Amino acid sequence: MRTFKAYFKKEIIESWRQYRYLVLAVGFIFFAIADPLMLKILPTILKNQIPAEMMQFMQFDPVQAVANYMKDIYQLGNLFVILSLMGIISDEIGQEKLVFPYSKGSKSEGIVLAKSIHYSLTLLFLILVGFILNTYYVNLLFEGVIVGYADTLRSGLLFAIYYIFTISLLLLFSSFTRKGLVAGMIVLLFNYIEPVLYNIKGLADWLPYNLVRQANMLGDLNMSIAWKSILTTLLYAIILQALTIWRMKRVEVI
Amino acid sequence: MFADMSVMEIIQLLLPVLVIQLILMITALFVLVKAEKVRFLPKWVWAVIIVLGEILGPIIFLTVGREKDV
Amino acid sequence: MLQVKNLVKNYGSVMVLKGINFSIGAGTVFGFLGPNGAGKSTTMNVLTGLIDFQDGQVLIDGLDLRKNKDALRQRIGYLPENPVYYGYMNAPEYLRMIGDLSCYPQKEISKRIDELLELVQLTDVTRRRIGKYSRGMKQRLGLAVALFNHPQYLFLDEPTSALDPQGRMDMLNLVEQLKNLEITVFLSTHILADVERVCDRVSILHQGEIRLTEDMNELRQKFIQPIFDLEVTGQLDAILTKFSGLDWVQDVKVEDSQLSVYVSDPEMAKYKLPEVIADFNLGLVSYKIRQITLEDIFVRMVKI
Ligand SMILES: Nc1ncnc2c1ncn2[C@@H]1O[C@H](COP(=O)(O)OP(=O)(O)OP(=O)(O)O)[C@@H](O)[C@H]1O
Ligand SMILES: [Mg+2]
Repeated sequence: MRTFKAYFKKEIIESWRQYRYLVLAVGFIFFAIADPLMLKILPTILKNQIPAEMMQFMQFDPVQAVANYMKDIYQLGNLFVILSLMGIISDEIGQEKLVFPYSKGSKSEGIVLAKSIHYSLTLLFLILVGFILNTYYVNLLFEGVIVGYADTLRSGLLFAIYYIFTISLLLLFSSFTRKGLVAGMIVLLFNYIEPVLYNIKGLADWLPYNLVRQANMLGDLNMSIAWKSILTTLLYAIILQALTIWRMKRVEVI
Repeated sequence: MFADMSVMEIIQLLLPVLVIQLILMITALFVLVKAEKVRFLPKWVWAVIIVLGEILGPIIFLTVGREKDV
Repeated sequence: MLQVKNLVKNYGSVMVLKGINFSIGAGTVFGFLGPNGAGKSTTMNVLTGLIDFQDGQVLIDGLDLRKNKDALRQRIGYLPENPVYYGYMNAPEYLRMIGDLSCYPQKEISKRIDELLELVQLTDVTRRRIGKYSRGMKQRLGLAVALFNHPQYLFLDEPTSALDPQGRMDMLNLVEQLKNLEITVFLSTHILADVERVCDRVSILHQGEIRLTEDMNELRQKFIQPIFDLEVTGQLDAILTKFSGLDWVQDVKVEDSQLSVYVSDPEMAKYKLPEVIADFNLGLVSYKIRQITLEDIFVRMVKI
């Protein structure tokens, strides 16, 4: 698939030269380190401002610290991913970048898959590195039961799959608009609604957000529940990407 | 707690964070200085945002303020 | 062979192409003329399969464009009016990408890139990012992109608009070379001198309708013929009546004391016209034979 190869290379050059790798890396890696440090320093900063009996809630163990990192990269990570990828297809259409490629007969399957796989791999790598660093730091900084790398890496994997879903969502909405911001806003909105929908009985298991919840279980994770979430989410991702390809076959690029 | 850590240890822990932040800030300033045009705000405002905006300043400049496509 | 039958294109409720027809034989350089907003670029976008259309049919080598988009795109090269690139790439990187996208033989891509950069004279700026190119440089690179996979059909939308005089000459020379390679060129432009130089056949498009399609040779014979410009003093009514009765006079345009006489047989008119003037006791201020140009035809066609 020559289109796939061409666009995979293009995404690498683009992410590098447009500082996208840097932005995404900061999103996941900076907070892996900064987050536990902030938690650690927090009581020292607040010492004179809050009553002593409150202080005991400020004592975290490694598991709580990892949970805090996961909460942050769910919110901030989403923001970073959406900010840097919202124009993933709409910029190409809106700025007429696809005129030459389409006039040369490029295949939309190749373009969409190259983008989705490139960014999925990028995020998978960054998330795993982030979780490793975070595990190292929380075990170093906090007292209590040590968090195992196997547990956090497994959670990282669940997070990565969750982000594959976000990427697929961005791809689809981005292919329907010429302004990336519109696609970004829609996906962001969806991200805010999802935890709300999660409270509706019977729906929870079917939401990609369930992966985030499962990831938070760390050692207590029930793999059979997790597998169901993984498979449904990947199925959504495949459907979203198939729709994107369908759309890209019909879109007018000029 | 920090009480039972030496100053050196604390600095060692903070070092990666400071390094990342510094790299990011320098990169963003470099991009800003080299750019012919920037978007939405004048260059000097972006400079202030990058320097004072901690981690998010450079990120916002790189994702929003930078002229795409050069 | 490129055939366009009753092509209709709407943008919303606006009909931009109102059922246009033409056909272009292989190896022809086809000039596509028309004022701003006539629909030239729209036609090109349709013919290259980039936008859909509402009615009609486009056949390339006998194949329906709608049904054979993928196959036909391999035979087409397009240089759009405003070529857009990934600005952070340099020219060889972009051309390599184009090579992959057009499924050009992997091993020959590098050679082809060098060849094309040489051809469009961009060898000095291969390291510069395309985003920093001038408009003319982008247009040159666009030609390299369009030509990459040796297309049989080349669509050039105002290819000389941003070029310096030397670049324009080079582009026209190149189009002439392509003619020898049996490549069909579809060229839209405002510069009529370019058309007269390289085109075999022209169409004039106005407000989404074809006003004229003609071989350049026939056009020269039929339209590009002399007009007799006379400036006279005295009463014109009588002579005008006389002119309208003469079968070798096609048309007379009057502006104050200026008469422009369009004739069917210029050789005969050279002898007969002075005789007619003499018959009417008019003062002859000037008598000039004007060669009608493509420009005159163009202006006449888009005025109606
Ligand atoms: N995307 C679009 N949406 C709506 N109207 C359009 C669109 N593109 C073109 N038009 C309209 O179609 C008409 C023809 O435009 P087109 O660009 O084909 O003209 P053109 O002959 O190439 O003109 P020029 O010489 O200025 O390049 C114009 O009236 C233009 O406003
Ligand atoms: Mg045009």
